[in-house]
Amino acid sequence: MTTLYVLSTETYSGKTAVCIGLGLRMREDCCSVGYMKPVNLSAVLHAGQPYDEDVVFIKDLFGLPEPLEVLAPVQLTPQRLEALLTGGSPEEFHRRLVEAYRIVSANYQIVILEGASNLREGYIVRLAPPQLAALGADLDAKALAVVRYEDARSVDHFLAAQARLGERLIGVVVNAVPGLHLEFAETYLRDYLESQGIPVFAVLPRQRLLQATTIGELADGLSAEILVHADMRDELVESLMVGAMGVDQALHYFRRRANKAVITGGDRSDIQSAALETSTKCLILTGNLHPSAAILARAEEAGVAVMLAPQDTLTAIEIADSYFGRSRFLQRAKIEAFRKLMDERFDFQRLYNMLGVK
Amino acid sequence: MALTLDPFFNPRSVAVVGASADPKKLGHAVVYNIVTHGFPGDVYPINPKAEEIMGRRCYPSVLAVPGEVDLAVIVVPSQAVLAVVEECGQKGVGGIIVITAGFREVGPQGLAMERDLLATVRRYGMRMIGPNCLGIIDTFVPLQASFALGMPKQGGIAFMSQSGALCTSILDMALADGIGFSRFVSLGNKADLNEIDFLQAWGDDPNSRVITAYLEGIADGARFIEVARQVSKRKPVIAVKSGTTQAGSRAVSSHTGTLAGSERAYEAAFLQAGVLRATSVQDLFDMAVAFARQPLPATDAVAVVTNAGGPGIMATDALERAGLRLATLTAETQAKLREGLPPAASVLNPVDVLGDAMADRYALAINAVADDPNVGAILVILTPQIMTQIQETAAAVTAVAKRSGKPILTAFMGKQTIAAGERILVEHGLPNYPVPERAVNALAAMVRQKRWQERPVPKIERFEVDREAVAEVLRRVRADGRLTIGDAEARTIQAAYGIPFPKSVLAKTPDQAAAAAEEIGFPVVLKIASPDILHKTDIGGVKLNLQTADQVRDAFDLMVYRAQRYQPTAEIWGCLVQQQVRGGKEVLLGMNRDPQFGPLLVFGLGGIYVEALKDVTFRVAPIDREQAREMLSEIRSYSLLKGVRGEPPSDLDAIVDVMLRLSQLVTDFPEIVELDINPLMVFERGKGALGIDMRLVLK
Repeated sequence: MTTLYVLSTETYSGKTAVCIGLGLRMREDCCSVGYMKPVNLSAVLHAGQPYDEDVVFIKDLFGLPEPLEVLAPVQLTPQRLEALLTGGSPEEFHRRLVEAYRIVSANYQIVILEGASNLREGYIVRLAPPQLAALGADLDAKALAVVRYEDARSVDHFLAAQARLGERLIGVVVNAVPGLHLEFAETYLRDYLESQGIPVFAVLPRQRLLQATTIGELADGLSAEILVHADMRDELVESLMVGAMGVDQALHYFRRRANKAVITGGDRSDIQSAALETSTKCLILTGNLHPSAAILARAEEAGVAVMLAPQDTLTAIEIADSYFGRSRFLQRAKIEAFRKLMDERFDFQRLYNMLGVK
Repeated sequence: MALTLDPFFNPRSVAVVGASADPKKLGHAVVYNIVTHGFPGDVYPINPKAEEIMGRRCYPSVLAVPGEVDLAVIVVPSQAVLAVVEECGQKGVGGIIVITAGFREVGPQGLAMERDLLATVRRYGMRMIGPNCLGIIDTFVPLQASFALGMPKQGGIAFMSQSGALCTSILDMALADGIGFSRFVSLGNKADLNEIDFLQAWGDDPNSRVITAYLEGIADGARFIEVARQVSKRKPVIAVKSGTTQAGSRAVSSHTGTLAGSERAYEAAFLQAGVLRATSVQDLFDMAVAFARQPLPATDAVAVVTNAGGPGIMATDALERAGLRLATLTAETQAKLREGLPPAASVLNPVDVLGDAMADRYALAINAVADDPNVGAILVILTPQIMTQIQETAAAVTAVAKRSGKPILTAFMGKQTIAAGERILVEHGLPNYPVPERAVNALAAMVRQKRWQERPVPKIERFEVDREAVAEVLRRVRADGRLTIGDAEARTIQAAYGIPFPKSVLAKTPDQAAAAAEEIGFPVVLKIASPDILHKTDIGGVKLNLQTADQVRDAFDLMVYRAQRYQPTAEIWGCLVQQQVRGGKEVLLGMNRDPQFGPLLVFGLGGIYVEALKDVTFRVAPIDREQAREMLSEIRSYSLLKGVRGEPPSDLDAIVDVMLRLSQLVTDFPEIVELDINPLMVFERGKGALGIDMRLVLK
């Protein structure tokens, strides 16, 4: 049994994506794969219990029989963290984690642990990534860091991971590299990191699709009613545009982006029809103003979802915008795209050698 | 497929499905109209619950009718329409008119029903007008298959309308004014037959001398232009297009769910299709009545005969404003007039026969100008003074009109007393207008029509280009999930279509940029290269006049930094190092694919002329050399290109050449929805032009 600890230096680096991508591929290549998210300090309550959407999704995707409280043994909401400060025992979490880990590790050849949001999260429960990796005999995890690459300043993230994790770090994934830096990352950056004793398993380019959110996510976030094409909830939306201009400019503007959501007032039929002429996934109509029947018919015909949001346009923009680039990874289309990327660019053999499998 | 609308305009039998004996119902109105207005064929009311309606035997369904049914008019509730249409198909009906509303216009469920309806119609090879329409009228059959009131006089005007309600008002007006129609169609939702089909069919209809239309949108702009271009060569096509303002276009979108299409596109498309644009229903019929019964003028020279100075002057102003001329009368005509008119009369154009003129004086003057070879058309103005012989003058005008072969339009100004004269004029097919300006407006339309008919058909040139190279760029961009193409990639497209550009190199690092600049030669221009940043100048993404390698390095660094700050999600490829071009005039060439008419080319003088003065002109591609030249000369700042104050003229041929290549490019690749070359730097005549910056947007 081997444990692979996938962690990241900051939020939305693509950790979940790498866990899923690795898990699916390893199951095909060599071994049975289990999954755990040891610590989550950003859980939300669902039916009174802390709940993590990622874990629920992966349990389902991998078909894992273990109960959620085993897959995610230490889940805390910000409120429960407060309670902890006024008197609680962190040792309890350690015990709970090790127990859950024993159950999971007994069943699989490889267990993937998904790390916290960053390298600092979890000290409060004595289970921050460096501490967790250092659990030694209890876990014996090998760490893989996923770093979102912006520019050369991101190099510090790799070095920081190395400094904190030491020998436990077996390598990194350079993720979401912008096009301009791709060539650089694939040559100079890779060579540099390797020379520093940091193996690079993959350099992955930034992909629009992976930043996308879904129509369903937007509708839920906005508490919006989907009037047309409710069947498109799982479709990906790649960007958000606001329709608040004259109709002549609207077309010019909307043509710039593909697979977008357009936010506009329910009474702006000219903007709506302009958006329907271009590559649009959904119309978000604000102010609870119903569009005209003819627009709905045209949207139905054009295969564009229409949702009615209760907020004013400004508020709706703020809410909807928060989903882009920070959307969950939990859509089939994204998983497919990411797997393809991993297949093309991830050095699985090197990872297997280091893990001592196959 | 040859389009036959015979089932609609030449039916031997008509069934009315949903016929009713109750005079308050539409199903009764339609039967009433068909029967009362003299349809000569068989009429079959269909209603399972009635024995007979208006003395005609009723049948429970179309299938129960013993004879053949050419046309079925359907007025049953929307839920029942599909089944009825299915039966019509089984019966072998040729055409159906679905008056029933409650389809696309009420939302997605209605749209689904409309789709099913159309599928059934197609499956049986039928044709359909509507749904959601008023019906049709043909005064020659005669057939009044609508729920409008009354039957217009026979005449040469064919009219189609996207608004059913407007039809009823126009019909009412026409009845009062004695305007004659050949055909009348309410288009409804245009699920099957649309304006293009009727345009095509009426082009061949000998009874229709002029085709008129009220339109809110056009189904297929490119085909509309193609069909209208041919039909309008044979007879005038006049259209009112509503929804041209911002608020108006919103109303159209709300009403039809489609984008109204830009006003500029309509203007260009109508111009190129030879469609005369009317600004209102009144304007439409002002033109139509003139075309319906008057010949086209041979020239734009107009003779005005008036009994009042003021209206004569107003007519003169109107003529000039409309781009027409006052005819210069020959010496012979002037002599005739001098001899026959009192000394105080004006024998120069406008010919003033004076306030006390009786019919004989008018007759003399009109005959004289009608015989003048310099005169192409005649405008007769009459103000009712106490001795004015209104009816006799009207008769005199009609007598000349009969023999002269020149168009004569009248402005008998007034209402009460001139009515008797007006009746005579209208009976003889002479359109009368209450003010001279409206008559002049109609005359101007006739002159435009005449010129249009004489204008040669455009000859589209094809250049030798590398189509595959462009296709390859477009494929790559698409595969990348992008819609926009900036300079760097656009260079390949420019090269493939022979659109010249300055030397340029894409650099990924400051050092590469400096090296490229050394090779190109200083000074150079540096531009940020990113498919996501199209307005480079907004973010300081263009730097001119860089003189040294260090300046190039600094500019590269700053530019990339700014671009990343401005748009963190933007993909940045580096910077384009470009030869700095000097000493030309900047013009803008572009294309914006209009949702209705397709590739709309734009041309204007660059910089402030485009931005502040909106001095631009439009055509729908493809265009020929003649049209490209017209575009050049249409802008107000044309003289700046021709050279003012001793400046040398610009290379106009080079601009035309790029325009034509651009026209070919956007015609070859419909997936290009926007394209700008801004600026195109034009040098002195003979020295060519360079497309400095080009960007494209794909569908």
